[in-house]
Amino acid sequence: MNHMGVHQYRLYVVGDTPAGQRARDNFKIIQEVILSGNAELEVVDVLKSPERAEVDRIVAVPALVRIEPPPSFKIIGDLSDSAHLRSFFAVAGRDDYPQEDET
Amino acid sequence: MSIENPKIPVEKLSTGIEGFDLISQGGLPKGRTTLITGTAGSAKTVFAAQFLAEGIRKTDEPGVFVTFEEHPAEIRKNLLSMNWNIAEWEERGLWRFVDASPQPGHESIESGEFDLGALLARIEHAVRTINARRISIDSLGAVFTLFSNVLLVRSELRRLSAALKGIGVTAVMTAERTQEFGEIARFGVEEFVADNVIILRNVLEAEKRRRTIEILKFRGTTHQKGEYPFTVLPDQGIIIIPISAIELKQRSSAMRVPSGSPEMDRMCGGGFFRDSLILVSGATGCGKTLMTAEFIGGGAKKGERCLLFAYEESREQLLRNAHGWGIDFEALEQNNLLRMVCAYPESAGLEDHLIAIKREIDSFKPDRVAVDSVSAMERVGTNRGFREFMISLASFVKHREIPGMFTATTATLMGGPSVTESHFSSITDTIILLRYVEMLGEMRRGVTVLKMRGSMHEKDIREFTIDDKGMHIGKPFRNIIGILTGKPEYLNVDNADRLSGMFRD
Repeated sequence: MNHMGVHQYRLYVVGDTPAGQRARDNFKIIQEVILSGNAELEVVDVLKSPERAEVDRIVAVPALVRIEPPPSFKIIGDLSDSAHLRSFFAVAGRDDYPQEDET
Repeated sequence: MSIENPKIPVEKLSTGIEGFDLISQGGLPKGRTTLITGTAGSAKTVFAAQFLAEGIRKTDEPGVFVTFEEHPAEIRKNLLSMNWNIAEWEERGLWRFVDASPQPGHESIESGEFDLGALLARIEHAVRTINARRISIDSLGAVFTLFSNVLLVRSELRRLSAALKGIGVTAVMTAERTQEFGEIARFGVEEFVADNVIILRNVLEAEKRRRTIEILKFRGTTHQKGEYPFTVLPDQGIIIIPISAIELKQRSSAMRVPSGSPEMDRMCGGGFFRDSLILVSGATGCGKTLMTAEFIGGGAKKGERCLLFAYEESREQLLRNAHGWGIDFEALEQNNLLRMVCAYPESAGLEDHLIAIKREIDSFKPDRVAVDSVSAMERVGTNRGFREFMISLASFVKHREIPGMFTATTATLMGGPSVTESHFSSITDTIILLRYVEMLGEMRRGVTVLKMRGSMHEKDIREFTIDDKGMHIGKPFRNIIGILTGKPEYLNVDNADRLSGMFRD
């Protein structure tokens, strides 16, 4: 996966909430354990940038959006369900496969 | 939640939806949330959109539309058919979407705790940006399908409802129900989001769809009770027909107008009253359309303009028939004394017909109105729908203080009532019966004035004939009884004399 470039993620939060903080902490674990440290995270506060939430149609927070590589997906919640996430990322990882072949 | 001053009654916000402000006695409770609930296809989204559209069109109040179901592009496209140009309103900062519709192909999973804070922040931002006074949320049921945790969605919607109150906008939220009569909305949303509930129904009754609106509750303020029929017109949206909210405040006039037939004028004691409703009832072919033509001709002679709604005959047939009676409808039309509106009853629903009639009356501003026949409309709707149609029609005409002649076809050839009569007779001022009379192997025609409010009238049943000059009312039938019941019996002259002698002093 490394030659695909860096994975980009965006985390939407509303202000400074415990759930938002937990999502950040949990993302760090995901980043290291599942994504082998090869991911960047941008945190967007909906209160400060509502227009961006509009573009990504964010309703629930915290919400993690994968920007790169495609396909884009959304994970809602504080990312605390790690077993669920692990299997999800495994499937999402397979989604990348055909595109890898093209490049 | 904001604390309201208990001394100030609940203010209402005029919605601009035709008929709604009347049945809601002023509009939606201002600064509060109203739940609009209904089954699939009950025009909830139209109501929600129209609430904003009328605000923009009539009072320049900007509005925010939050969509959980349809994509904004779809809504823009669908509502363009109502002549609402949402894209233009968006450019002018009068309309703003908050798009929370599902994105096909964009997967979304849940992991751990979350809330709907982003939605709230986006709505507040949208309201602030365009300084919105109205907000519509369509629909709450769809929010429940987005997330697996129903309890969480409930508590978040309650938070949303409270937040809206805090912002001070007047809100409309839609919610689904699965049955026309049963629980108010799915997921019991009415219990926690709104003090005010409106139900839209689209009931299938005797193979006909009938739309109604009912205000179930308005907390702390009044409204009309019960169901009111409404229709959705392509260029106007929802139009509500406020049947029982129509006030009986029309004045009564002693002024008489000619009926078109001098003999009929005599029978009525000097003509019809100017603001009266006249019901002409009779079997098919016994002269109802003729009476209508005489009524139109009589008005035209005085320079009065007449509006004729014909539901049984085409324009050409009418012209030909009237010509046969010596009345030139075409010339009247050219002189702007007559306007004919011909339509098949089946071409639209009763509500649509009613609105079309009202619109014609408003635009032509006639001095007299004739409908030939109202009983043709019986076919189109249910019994109840027809009754409401008749009452509304009668009140439209009465409110203009002009005479209205309505014809009704009886079901049987020889006498007998029609449905129209039973629905209509109590609100009509004058009833004229036309009947066939079988006499010595010959069909003759009889006419009588059964009722005439506020005036003396003749009680005789007179014979009338029809020729190329129109209708000629002749002498009363003397030695015959039972005409009205359809079973005429002859009395010999002696008997007749004896009978009339019995009641002489």
